[in-house]
Amino acid sequence: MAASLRIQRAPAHDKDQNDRESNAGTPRAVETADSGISEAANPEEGDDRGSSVDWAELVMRIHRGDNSGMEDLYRLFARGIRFYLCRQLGMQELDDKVHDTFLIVVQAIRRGDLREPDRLMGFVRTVVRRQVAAHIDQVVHSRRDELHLDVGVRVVDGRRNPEQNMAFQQKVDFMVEILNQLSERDRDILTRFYLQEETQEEICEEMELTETQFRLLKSRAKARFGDLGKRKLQQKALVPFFSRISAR
Amino acid sequence: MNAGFDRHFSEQIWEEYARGMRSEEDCRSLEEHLLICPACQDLLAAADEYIGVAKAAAAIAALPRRRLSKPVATAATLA
Repeated sequence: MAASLRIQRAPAHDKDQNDRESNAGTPRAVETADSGISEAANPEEGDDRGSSVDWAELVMRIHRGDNSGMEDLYRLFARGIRFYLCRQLGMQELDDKVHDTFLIVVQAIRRGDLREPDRLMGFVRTVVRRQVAAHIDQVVHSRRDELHLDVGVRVVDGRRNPEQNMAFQQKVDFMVEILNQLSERDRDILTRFYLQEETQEEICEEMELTETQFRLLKSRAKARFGDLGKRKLQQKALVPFFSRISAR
Repeated sequence: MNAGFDRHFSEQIWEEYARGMRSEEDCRSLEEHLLICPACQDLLAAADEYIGVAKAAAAIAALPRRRLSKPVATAATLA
């Protein structure tokens, strides 16, 4: 794992959770010279908050019922748990699910079930995953009971509101525009990757591409998508401006 | 690997994670880190969205280019 995953320093975050939620992480994408892989850049150095968290001490405080321990636990994990649950299960009853997860974690710590306090993150992850699995199980069973069917069950409610639908469709249109500007071969490569879900290795082998060529194509398409999106948004922002000007 | 606030993973890795292409062991480290790292939550959210958009766009772009049939072309001309 350590060798296969590239990690680098994260942008600094305020310690305050509210600030973190409003400004949360705006890492810039840069291309590394060696691989062409987009990496998250580090706008600021010097945040050592992560290394300053003493998990064992935090667990100890929660174990003895210290309110500050619960507050810190919430501050550290609330956004992440919410994000994970929302991604897996959708928005429905999200607050309740987050609350249940915290309750399970806190109760387990108070009972002394967490034997390795340094592994608090792993423990929280296990609890969250069990919550997800239990919810999926429940949904599958209830729908099976209702429909007497065991196929085609969708757990995440992927529906968007009309505004989100419009924004998504606009982005799809940008992407179609970009794909149509590519050569047939390049378009085929991206279609295989995103639509047919072929792996990078399969595509590279079949289309005689190097890993670098593949990554470059992918990152260029992404960069064009970002540029086009920005341009269109700027144009859109200028429309009211120009209509005001022309009305004078 | 020690996940913490002071380090985070690349867009490339989150895209692979979103596509279900990382090993179980990788997922463990990534998800532990994800729980406490807002920057990586944002990267993963962006990867999810981009993959969804790219997939939908690729499906449209992969459709055979349709040409206007004669009657339609005539109707369009008349209009």
